[in-house]
Amino acid sequence: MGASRNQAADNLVSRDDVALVDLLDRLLAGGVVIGGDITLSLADVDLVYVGLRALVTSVETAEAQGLSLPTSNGRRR
Amino acid sequence: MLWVYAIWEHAPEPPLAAIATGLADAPLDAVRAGPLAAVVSRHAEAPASPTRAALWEHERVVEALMAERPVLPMRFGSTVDGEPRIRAFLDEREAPLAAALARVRGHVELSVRALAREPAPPDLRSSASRDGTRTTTPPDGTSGRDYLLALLARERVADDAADALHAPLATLAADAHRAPPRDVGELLRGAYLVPRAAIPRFRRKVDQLQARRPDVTFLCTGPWPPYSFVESEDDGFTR
Repeated sequence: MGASRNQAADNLVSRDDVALVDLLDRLLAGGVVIGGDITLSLADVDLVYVGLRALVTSVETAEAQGLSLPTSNGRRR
Repeated sequence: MLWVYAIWEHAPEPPLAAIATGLADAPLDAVRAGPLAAVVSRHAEAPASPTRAALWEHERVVEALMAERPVLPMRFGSTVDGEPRIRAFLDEREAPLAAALARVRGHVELSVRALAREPAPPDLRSSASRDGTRTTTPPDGTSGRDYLLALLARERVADDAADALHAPLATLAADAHRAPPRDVGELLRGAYLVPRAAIPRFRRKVDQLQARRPDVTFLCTGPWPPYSFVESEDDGFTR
């Protein structure tokens, strides 16, 4: 989680941030489950969600309000 | 320990090494049972925790597999202690897994979320009336019953709004799911199982909806492996 936060800080706003929410929905809540053999407990998954979503939600809120945010390399979306 | 990426129909070609490399650069291997096989990599200990990079890495492998033939993606973090456990699972679940593979063949999953540009008010205490003046509800005298009725009415409006966004997309999909919104202002969180050939048509429909609804931001991503369509209520899967 620490590593992911640092990476997120380096690359503050990108298309990946929008897709990340959809990725979390799918990889952590969808897919085939072999009963009882998930390395992550449900509590862990919730923590991941909270950690990875904090940044994403702020990006989306900005986007939903029609703001254009600069990307790390200076381009605007 | 085996990290499991996906389940698909067993086929010897092309070799897995030609398709992708697993987490931590481990080679991919197939564990076969009857007509099905699980694609795995072998590790002394769990090769990944759910960081952003690891999630995308797992996704990269599944997408490479999906480019070859139909897959049922595993939930991230699916590990087993050995091959017998996977074979038992594939044996036991052969019929529903095969049915699910048949359903997703030739299809991809597309995600659509719709966000209100105006964030919803945090509560009911303040609301603007038609003439633009602000009224405060419920005032101190308002009963709990009125408050709950107002809450229900608001929920129904949100539900109808979501239906209006979801229905035109669902008609272009072989199957579709609506998940409960997670955030305030999120009107729709939908997953759509769409024939590959219909992806452009689906995206055009999203653009049409967007053009009609400037008050809403549509976020459409994909194609994803069919994470939201690995089971059907008829299959008797349990999660």
